Amino acid sequence: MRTPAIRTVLTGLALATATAVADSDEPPVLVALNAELARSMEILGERPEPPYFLSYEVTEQDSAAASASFGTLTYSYQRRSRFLDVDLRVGDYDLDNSRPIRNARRPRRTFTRVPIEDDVDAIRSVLWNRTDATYKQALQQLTRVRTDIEVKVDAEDQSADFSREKAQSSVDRPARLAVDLPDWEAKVRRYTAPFGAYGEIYRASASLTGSTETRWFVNSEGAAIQTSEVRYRLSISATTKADDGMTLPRYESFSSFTPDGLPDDETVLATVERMIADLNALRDAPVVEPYTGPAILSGRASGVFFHEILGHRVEGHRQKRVDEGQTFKKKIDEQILPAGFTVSFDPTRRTLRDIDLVGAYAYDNQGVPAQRVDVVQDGVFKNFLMSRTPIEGFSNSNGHGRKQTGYQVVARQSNLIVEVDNPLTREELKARLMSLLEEQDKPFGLLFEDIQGGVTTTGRFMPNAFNVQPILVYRIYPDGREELVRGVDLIGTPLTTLSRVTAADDQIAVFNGICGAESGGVPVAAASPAVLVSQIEVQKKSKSQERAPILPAPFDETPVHTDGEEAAE
Amino acid sequence: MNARNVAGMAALIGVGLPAWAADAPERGGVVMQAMRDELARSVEALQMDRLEKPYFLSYRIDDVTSTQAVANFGALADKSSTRNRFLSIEVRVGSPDLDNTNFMPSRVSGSPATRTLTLPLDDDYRELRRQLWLNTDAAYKYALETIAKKRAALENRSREELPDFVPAEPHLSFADAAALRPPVEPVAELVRTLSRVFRDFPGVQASQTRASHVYRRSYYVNSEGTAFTQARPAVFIEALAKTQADDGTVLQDFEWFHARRLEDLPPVAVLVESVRGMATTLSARRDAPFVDRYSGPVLFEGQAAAELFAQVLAPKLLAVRVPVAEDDRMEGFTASLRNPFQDKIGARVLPRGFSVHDDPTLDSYAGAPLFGGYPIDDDGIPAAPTALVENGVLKGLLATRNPIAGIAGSTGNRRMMGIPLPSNVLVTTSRGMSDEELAEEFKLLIEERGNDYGVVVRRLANPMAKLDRSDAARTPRGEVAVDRLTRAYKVYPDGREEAIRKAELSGVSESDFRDIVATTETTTNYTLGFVPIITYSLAVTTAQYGTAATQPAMSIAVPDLLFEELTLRKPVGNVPLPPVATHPFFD
Repeated sequence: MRTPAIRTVLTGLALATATAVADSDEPPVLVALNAELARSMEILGERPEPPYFLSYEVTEQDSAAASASFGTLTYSYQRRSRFLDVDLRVGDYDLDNSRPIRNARRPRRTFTRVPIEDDVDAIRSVLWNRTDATYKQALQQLTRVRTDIEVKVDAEDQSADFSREKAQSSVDRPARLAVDLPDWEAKVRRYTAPFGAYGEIYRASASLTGSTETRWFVNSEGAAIQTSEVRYRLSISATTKADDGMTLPRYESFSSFTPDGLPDDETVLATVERMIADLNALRDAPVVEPYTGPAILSGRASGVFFHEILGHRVEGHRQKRVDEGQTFKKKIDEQILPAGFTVSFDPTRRTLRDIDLVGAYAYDNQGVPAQRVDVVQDGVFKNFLMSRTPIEGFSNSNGHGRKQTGYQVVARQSNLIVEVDNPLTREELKARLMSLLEEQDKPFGLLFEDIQGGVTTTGRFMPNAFNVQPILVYRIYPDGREELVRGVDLIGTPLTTLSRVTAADDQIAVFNGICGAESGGVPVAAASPAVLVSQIEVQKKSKSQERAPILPAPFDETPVHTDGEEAAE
Repeated sequence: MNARNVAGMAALIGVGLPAWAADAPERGGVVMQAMRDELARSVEALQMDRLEKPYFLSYRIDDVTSTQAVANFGALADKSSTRNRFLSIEVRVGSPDLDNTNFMPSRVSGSPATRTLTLPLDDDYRELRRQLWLNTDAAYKYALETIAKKRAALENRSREELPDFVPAEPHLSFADAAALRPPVEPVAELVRTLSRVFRDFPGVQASQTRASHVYRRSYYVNSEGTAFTQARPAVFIEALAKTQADDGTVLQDFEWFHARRLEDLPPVAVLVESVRGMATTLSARRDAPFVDRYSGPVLFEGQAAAELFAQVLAPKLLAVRVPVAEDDRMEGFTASLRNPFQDKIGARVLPRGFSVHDDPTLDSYAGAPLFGGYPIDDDGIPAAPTALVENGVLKGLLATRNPIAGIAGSTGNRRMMGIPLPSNVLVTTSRGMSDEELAEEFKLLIEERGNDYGVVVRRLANPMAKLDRSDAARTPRGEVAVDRLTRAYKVYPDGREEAIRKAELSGVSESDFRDIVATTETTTNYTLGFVPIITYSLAVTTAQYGTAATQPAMSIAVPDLLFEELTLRKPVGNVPLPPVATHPFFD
């Protein structure tokens, strides 16, 4: 069983500049990787069970962050790290040590730190140790795989373990993060100060993060790739509590590839004021009981909804594992959404409606170029997201082999984009909802305006279901009145829910977040117009049993101490 | 009231002033003011419905700046400079006779006792108040839940007739200094230099050199009127190395250096030579033979004697209160926490002439620095020496304000997670010999036994000082866990020495210390991060809410120890294969 989740990441914005640095000869990290790769293949090649494939990937994170709570600094730092991932395969492309052992635990995450200085000898010493350990594990694992094949029933999916792909060479110019930490610190203090006036808001924080991720990838098929990308993010989060103990959060985040892409102070402070107003309103909002009926999901809510119910189920490797639900494995060329709906995954697309998409990349973690994949065309199911693990009928990667450093690659989502041929306006969509209310004789419908994230299980043991966690939900009454409510999660099962998607509007919105699954956390985007679902189900949200604080906020009853007015330093 | 020199920094005397001047930064400034004001308000007004109010409340804030660097094979692998403020609250409800502590709940995971709570870094009075208010509220509710569970458990059980808390006199003491954020570059350059040493050793497979420079300022206030601040820097450097013999046997070794400040360290050339010496010894052990089994005299010298004392005897010097268990399953566990030395007060635990003292007030002993000291413990009790063993007889145990049968009260040794820990342990003997006399005594013992050789141990592994932590002694049930002997030598009567590749002790226990036959007159000072395994289990039985997650250092001064008879064996367990390829740098 696995529980992939999309969630907002509370890291932040930036006013840093990325300046490109001219590269001269081959980058030292690539020199070290290539030299040790050649030496390892030569020496290990003389063993009775030699590796047929070896790849190294070094991921460097050059990051800076500042975070504040209620106008005061909670942390700020700058740090560089480099981690190594080794993929060493024994056996051959058809059958190797990567084949999952049926009903076995998945491999654990391994961290290998690599020197952050470009010292070829020091880097090679780490590569050597890790290669040796990985080779020995691979031999042991291949023996287990061969035994598993002997003792278990024949696998349903007889496809190979590793696809053959053309080796790529590409050296991107390294991006550099220039950070003005005192300026970042001042900004996050400014953004969180307004929350300080409210004793009922128990948590309020903002963080501003900038990070350059540089990756070096080489493999024994001849690939040599260097990519470098800067990202900035501002996240703001605040929490209050209703009288019944329910924790009520609000999140806002902004992501960008450039510092200019983040909103200015005025825009951010307006967002903060809106968050405060929402929190105050949420505290008094009525609780919704479990309910089924028609609903409109805003663009961001729909994005996460499709990410959970469709996206996780079209990840290629899930069609092969025997403990997976394999919802869409036999649905190729079947209608699963209304005509006119297209769902694609496009890591080559970097912006949509002026919003940067964080699921963009040039090469995946197996050195395969990023590609757009149309999973649903005109409502008809067409394709899967593929890593270099082939499945029946799909023998090659389409550039979606992804992972967080330390994990093993599987097929993952990138930028999910939902498009419709003949969109309605928001008013038309609401009118459709009204007629559904009448048809179904329901007292109200629901509008999911903003969500926190979602979660789904795709396995066979637990029910194959999803849960999207909304933050702002409104009841829409037949007379058009909208009322803020709280206390429910949107739930359902994939095929039933997809079959109830009826229409979409023209208001495309983007959710940028981090998706967590068996290969770790990877940045993904989900972009969609608002959709109308003829029938959804909501269940009660899990709720804290802690009461609100006994004493009032200290500054609500005592005169404010003068020391507190100015932050020191 | 006492003034104490805190590692060379100016100290201030708190002369029992009841008034707190808000404009006196040397008394803890805005941070202390916020702590004091929220404490006063909580003591006055915090009460849930008709349930009981707290009878004791304390706040502790640790402001920690930490600079760290790690190097591999001459290149930097990581460097960081961080600052955090950790909050730790203690709320006691009930009364000192029976409160919410000394209770082991059936679910211990996620206990707030071991959670870190962080505070804003700005000296913002209003915001510090808000965070203290919210966390005090949560800690109080948790205390109420705990005492309710404890009372329920006691419906069906009796407990030791002991109160839960001993009273203490109020104490004020302020030592302060400007905040320090140590620069990272000197630390980075040092680890690079030390790590480069391994480029001269083809026999060493992997190494890691790490240095940290930590500066901690602590603020404490409680509802009894105690308040203090203290500040201490600490520098720690370690070099770890690992290799394998041709048969695959994993061999590891380490060097540690401690200082208060970077400039107090020995010159870099001296550090380099120490690391070089370690790498040389480690390389040589690859070709040394094993000893299948040996019984006879064993001499522990220097670090090995101190580490052995720390691993076997030091945990027995702590007064451990056995908590009330919530259910039968936990009762089996809590019973096992009982320290057998609690019944041995007045009994012989070491040979005649041996004395053991714990003294947190010392900064050096016999001319060498000690690093386990502090002016005031985590309960606000001023540090003081404690006699533990006198002339071989157990006189007392190290204690906190948690009462233990047969122990008078706190010895001022609460240092982490509410548990007593040693500070500077001084082991002395009245009949110490010169090195030559001891060597002669050793030789006589070997001949008396009719053995060909004796064994001298100069380095005992420490579980924290390892690149490969899976390389640990496999201790059979019922035996005291002692780590592996990494530098052990056969010593022949003619004085010739022969290295042993690797060995472990078989069946050693605290009672073996009564059979020490001779010691040197000189002692070795050794410092280690000492955290007995029970600490984490016991933390959940205290009133502590939030932890600063520190690992306090313990220093130990001990003479070389000659045991009449110990048993050594070849390490048991699987042996991994040696690497297929050789190190690329030496290829």
